[in-house]
Amino acid sequence: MTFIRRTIVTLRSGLIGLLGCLFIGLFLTTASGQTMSNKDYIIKMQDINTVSGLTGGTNYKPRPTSGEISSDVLKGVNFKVRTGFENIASHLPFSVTLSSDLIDFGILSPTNPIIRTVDLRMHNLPLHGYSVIAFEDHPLRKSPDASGEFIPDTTCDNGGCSQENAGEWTNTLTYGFGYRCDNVTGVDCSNSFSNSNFYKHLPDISNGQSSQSVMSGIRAKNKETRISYKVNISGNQAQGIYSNIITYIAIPNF
Amino acid sequence: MNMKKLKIGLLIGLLGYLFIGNIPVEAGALSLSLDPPIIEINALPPSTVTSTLSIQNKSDNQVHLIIQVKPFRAKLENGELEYFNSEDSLMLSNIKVLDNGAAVESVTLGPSQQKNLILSINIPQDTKTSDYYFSIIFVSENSLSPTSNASLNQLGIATNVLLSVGQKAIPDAIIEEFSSGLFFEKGPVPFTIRLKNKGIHFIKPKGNIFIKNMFGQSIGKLDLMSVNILSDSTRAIPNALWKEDFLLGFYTATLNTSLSNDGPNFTRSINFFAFPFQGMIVIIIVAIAAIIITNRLKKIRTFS
Repeated sequence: MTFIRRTIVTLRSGLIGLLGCLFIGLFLTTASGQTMSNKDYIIKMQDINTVSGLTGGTNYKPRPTSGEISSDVLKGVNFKVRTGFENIASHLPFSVTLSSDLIDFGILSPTNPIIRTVDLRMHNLPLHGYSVIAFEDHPLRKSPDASGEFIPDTTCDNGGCSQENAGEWTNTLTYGFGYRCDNVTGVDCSNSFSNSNFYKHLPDISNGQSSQSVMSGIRAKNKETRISYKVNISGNQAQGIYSNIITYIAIPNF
Repeated sequence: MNMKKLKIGLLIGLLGYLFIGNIPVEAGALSLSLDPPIIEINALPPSTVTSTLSIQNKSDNQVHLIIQVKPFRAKLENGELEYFNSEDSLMLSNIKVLDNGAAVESVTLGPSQQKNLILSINIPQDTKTSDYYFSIIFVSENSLSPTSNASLNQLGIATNVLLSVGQKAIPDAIIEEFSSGLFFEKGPVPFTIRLKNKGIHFIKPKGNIFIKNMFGQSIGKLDLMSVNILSDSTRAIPNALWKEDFLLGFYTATLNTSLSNDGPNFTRSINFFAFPFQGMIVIIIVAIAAIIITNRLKKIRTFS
């Protein structure tokens, strides 16, 4: 009986402690200090000083900072350097996150489209805006490359979509590889994807196509989009493992 | 409750909080940050300019980043850019990224590791007076070997460098457009401002808009965002919005812009008219109702 009572008392104090910690955690503001670490060290900085290093020329060695100071001007004998924007909304460095480095389509079967997604998140955007461009190294190609077999980039149901223009793709007899962009936070996907069945194909740099913007915006808030890849093959497609590399590059506006 | 029990309780609570508060990180995620987002340089040859770049791998996986230098030009009027291929020797041979003093073409970062690199630009004596716009891009390298049909993703992040070589001349630009709607029922009032830079160097104009009412009184001031306008390109000034809700009458908006600290300065004015129809209709209905009620009350009093 005594043991049960003690256990109850201990659990009750544990619950109080847990609630206390949660309460404190809920109302604590996020610390703005920055941590840098690897296997050998951990450095915690109280101040946000995202760039602090030597900048200089032949005749001087000034010490630039950015972060709390959003723009910094450095003058040398023959030059002047300004880093960062003067009127940025965020004091944290421009960041981008992609939820996965691998999109596995699994086994492909004819006229059975496969759709897989990846999330693209932007953080601490400059007030002037940004864009994310994307391209593929080549269409989904069978390994080894020497076989020459590939799944073509989609041109959608009416044959009219491209790396620049979106088109409807619902027909299971339309084959190829394409993508679409859906807004999760913000409205930075292209308006051409406003119809839920509209797709484009990624620019193929092996074919001389130039990279295209998949999301862009100008308001300084965190943004998130979901990129959906769709692949559909015909019955004539040779069996094998098809793959390619898709590159996303986040670029602040100048 | 003695101290021992209290300590145990707090320990359990703390462990519980840590367990609950620990947000799982997606396996295979890629996450990068880069600072600063832009570097603006004015240089006279000969010189060697250096500036620090801070790159961070914010994921839980080691990442190998390839460093690329790509020239760009303005794509749209909102500051978006597009890359192009260039054979310019300054781009190819005189721009280097240094790690501990040695030029590198790639860098490997452990989980959460941040590294400061040095951007070094050597500007020889014979470099022609011009602007050079390029991005320093860090792109992750994906070396996975897929075992089934797959797309491998790579992630990159860029910082932009605007390099002006040579003595800066007096800026040469024009106001291509300063406009707003002619009529508003209510605010805010958006203005469209487009400036074209006709010079050989990028400019960063500053400006504001003063708004006067029909009595000539200054009733609003809007400071414009100072943005870079590349050589031979047009840029729309973003967020030019007068956040005034109630508007009534005739207004004059005057744009004052200075292309640099030393000028030249430009001024242009436009007019617009505002009348709050909806508000007025409500006021008229209320007034009519008040008149009717007053008359009824008068009649009742007279009758009684």
